[in-house]
Amino acid sequence: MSIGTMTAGRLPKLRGVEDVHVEFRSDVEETGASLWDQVNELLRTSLHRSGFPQPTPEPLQERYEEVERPSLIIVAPGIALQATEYEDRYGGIDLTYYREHMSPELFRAFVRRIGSIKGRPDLDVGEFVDTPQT
Amino acid sequence: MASLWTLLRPRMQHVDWVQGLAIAEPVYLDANILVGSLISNHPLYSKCANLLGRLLADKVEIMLSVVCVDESIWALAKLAYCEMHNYIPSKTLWNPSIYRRHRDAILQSYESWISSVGKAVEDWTTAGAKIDVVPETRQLFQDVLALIPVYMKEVKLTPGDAVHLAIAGKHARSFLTADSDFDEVRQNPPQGDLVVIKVTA
Repeated sequence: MSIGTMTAGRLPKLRGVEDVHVEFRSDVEETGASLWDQVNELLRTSLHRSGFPQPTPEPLQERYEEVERPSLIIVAPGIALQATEYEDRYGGIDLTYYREHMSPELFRAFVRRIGSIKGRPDLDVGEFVDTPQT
Repeated sequence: MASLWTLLRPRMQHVDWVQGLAIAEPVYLDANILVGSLISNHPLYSKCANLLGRLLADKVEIMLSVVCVDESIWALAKLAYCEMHNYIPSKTLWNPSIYRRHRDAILQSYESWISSVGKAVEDWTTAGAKIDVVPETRQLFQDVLALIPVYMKEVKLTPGDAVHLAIAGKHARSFLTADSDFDEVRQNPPQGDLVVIKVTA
């Protein structure tokens, strides 16, 4: 076998083994490229021809939809949030006013910190924030 | 018998915050306004964050105290404790003994919450915000100490709240709070020109 050329000869039938399912997956973050699926398909076909039936793979489109990232909203340089977090933190905040009336540095510092801790609708800060009694 | 001068001296005011209300500076922030702008999703979040945003955008002189920081961090530690155990904050018992038992777990998973107050103040100050820590001088500190028992007695405040009001009264012209305990100022205003501005839902 030469380097750089993928080959697959007939594999010997193993005693007691009826089905072998081989699948290659990337161990790094999914990039959306189909390289690994092409390699997987090549080996699957080869194994199938060698007498090892392979399960039908799920359509590639569905698999990519599962790993597709939701779009991020950029609030300030270096601060990007998903839509749900953006709505929680800035939905009621007049960012346009603050962007126009703060320096870029102050605006960035402001939006970076406000709402950065996820609270809850039943939290009454007027009563909640206090020094606890022993 | 009170002297004429004492009777003529101005009294503190207590008003509810409404959109467009003029806020005289310097402004002393209660812990609930500071923490209320860092925690999202609660009923006062937008008001707290927008108020803070306006103060920062208008370059208003903001004042904090160590008491404010102390209360803020206690609150964030409790919120972390509730988050860890899926407890409802308003129905959860919280005191120093519970904190000590869960301290390591809280700090292991939520240290970023605990440090968020300091980091926020540092970020905003570095970016140009005018934020000071008060009392500023030994004399003002002495004045604050003298007023604490007066406010505990006359305005029926807890020691912590009396410290807030004394510091605000000595250093600021406006005091932003969400704490209903200061409603007593409306009924029984002590002397001073401070305006206590309450943020309500």
